[in-house]
Amino acid sequence: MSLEQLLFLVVAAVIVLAALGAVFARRIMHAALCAVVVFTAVGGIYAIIGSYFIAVAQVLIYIGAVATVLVFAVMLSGQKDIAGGSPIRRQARWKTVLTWAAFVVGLVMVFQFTLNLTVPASGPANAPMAAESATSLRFLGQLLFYDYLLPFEVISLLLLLVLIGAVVIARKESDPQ
Amino acid sequence: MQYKLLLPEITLAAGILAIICADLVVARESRRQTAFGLGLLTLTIYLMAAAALGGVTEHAFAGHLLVDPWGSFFKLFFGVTGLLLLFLSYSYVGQRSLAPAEFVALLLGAYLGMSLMVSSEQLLTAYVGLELVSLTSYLLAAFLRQDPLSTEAGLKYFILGSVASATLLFGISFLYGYTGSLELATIAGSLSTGEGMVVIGSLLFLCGLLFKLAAVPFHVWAPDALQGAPTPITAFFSVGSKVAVLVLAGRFISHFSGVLAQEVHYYLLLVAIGSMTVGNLVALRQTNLKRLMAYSSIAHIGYLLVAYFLGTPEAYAALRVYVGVYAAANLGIFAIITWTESQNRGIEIDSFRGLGRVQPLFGLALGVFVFSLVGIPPTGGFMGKLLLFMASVQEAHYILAVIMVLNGVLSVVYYYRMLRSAFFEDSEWIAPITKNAALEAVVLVAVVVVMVTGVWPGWLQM
Amino acid sequence: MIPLSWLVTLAGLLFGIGLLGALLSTNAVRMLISIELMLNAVNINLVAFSRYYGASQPHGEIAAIFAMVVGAAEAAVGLAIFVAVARNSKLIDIDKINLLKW
Repeated sequence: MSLEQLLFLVVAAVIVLAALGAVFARRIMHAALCAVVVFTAVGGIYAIIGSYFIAVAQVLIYIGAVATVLVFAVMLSGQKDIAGGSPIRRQARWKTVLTWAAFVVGLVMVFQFTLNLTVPASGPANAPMAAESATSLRFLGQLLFYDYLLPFEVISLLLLLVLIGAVVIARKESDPQ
Repeated sequence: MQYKLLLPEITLAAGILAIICADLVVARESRRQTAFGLGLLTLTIYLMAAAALGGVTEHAFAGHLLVDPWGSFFKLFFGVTGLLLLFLSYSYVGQRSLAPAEFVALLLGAYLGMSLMVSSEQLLTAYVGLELVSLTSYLLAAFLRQDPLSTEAGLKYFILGSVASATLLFGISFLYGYTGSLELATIAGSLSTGEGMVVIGSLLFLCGLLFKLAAVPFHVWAPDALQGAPTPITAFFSVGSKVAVLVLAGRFISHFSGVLAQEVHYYLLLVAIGSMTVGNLVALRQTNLKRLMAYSSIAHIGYLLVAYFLGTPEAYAALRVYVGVYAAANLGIFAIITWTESQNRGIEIDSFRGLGRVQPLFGLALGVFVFSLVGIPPTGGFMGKLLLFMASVQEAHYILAVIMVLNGVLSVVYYYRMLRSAFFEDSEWIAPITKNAALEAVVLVAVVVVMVTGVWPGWLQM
Repeated sequence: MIPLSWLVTLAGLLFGIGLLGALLSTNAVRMLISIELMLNAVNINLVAFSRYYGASQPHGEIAAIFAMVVGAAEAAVGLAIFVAVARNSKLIDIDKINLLKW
């Protein structure tokens, strides 16, 4: 096992544990912090497999923007919730948890099964990553502004509309129209 | 010139920006007129641009845009329903003093997303279009921000809708992973049947779409979201965003029909029958009009999915007629609900009491719409159901045809309760009854569409 | 070099955990967190496949960038709706919001 693989396993373990923490932690603030750990570690995964630009974007967008929004949301959720309370619905808690655990295990088994079963167009599925260098930023940019021009422009409009809509929904009643 | 093919969407984008900018300079009193006027203008130009591209079949923007007659038909459909929706919401927005420019801009944004969804076979572009529809829909559902019901509807719609979007994107990632492409045609071309990763990918993708369609068993969010949302937005959910998702699902299924395992087709059939039956059965118990219409629309989605299960040209032709008539009847009923709501009579079935006496036009129109939704001749709904019925008999699916007829009979019961309330029960209408020309226009257009389709369904198939 | 199956398994696990949280949790903020976890899982998948197909065809990386932007927009919409709900009911506990039948 190479050093790279060892590093991957460590980071993957951090991701899974922190994700479980985000779902099951009693205090919602702890859940938000666990989510930030997941975001950071996922950025680490991108760096390990050589997608450096995506890694930087992950840090900028998820830790810079989404995590801030999450903390805002936690602060809004009120004292009552922060004081505790079970994160999972009360009725038949263990039954549901067991069902979902079975579901997750099944999901993973299906993934393993399919990956061993299928052979994508250009090689065996368990082959290592393509040995080429990281995607050049110039190429990514060109692709984004030539081939993907249409969705790129649409998403700019999406951000504008979301911004306007969010302000309308969230502003105070007393604010002047 | 590829931008010519994008003209309808460019119109919508320009209209949105114009509405937002105009709102900043116009005097406070005339803001609503300006926003809705610009909205009408935008949608009219959109309609003309879509009509001009009617017969074109062409790819543009590196394969991200596909203009074809099937998509153009639905663009025309969106243009017409969008215009009717603006008429429907004009007085509602004024009465509740909602922010008019933002309301119209978000609605047009949703239409831009829908327009993109029906004219793209590139999964990423379709996803961006879908998200544009979804995100604006969540905000529109919560647009009555002082009303706890509305904000709660927005919250539930947001949570479950986002889960559906993520599921859909997860499915896309597997399809991409197996083929290395995001083009629907390329993906379908380089697949062989029954590969595990493909089945998982297409199942996740389909589940995400069925979730957005509120088909059984993914329907739990729909009644809450549709009951709590502002009434014109409820109308939009049932005739706008759902139809766009339906078209995207149709494009996917028609490309993959050779690739998908037979099991997936029967899964689709189960979902269709389940939606019809559950929607109709649960609708029997409802007393809230918007909730009742939500379950009724779940049932109608079931009928429409039957067309995809059959997959024949006749079934697709029936789908066009069915969608057109269903949308007209639904918009008409929602216009009547909006009117009774504006007379402070609430949105229960009992609110219709005495409607036939007080406002005979709306009473008669309600009769036409109900007949059409049940499928009684000579209305258009009968034609839609008949064509679908014939298409399934043609494919020798007799049991399916019988189930469809039985469901039609079942739906008579709850639709009849509306009519009974309007004609055979009476109650005092206290407030001075005000007429509303915009809503009357919507109802008249809907009646004309329903009746014309009843005698000549061919005009929806041109 | 990391085998592709490891990455896809990680994505599947993260997606499953996120789905679990989004459907079973009682707190709207935790649901939002879970949805973001699901989107992260999708992105791992997209980037992993993209790396597998090589740097000359980074469609998956582009898709991941779009998914990130959509995820951020989703978080903003969620926050706005939470603010509106909190203003109407003072807390964001799904169990306690039950005007509409769930």
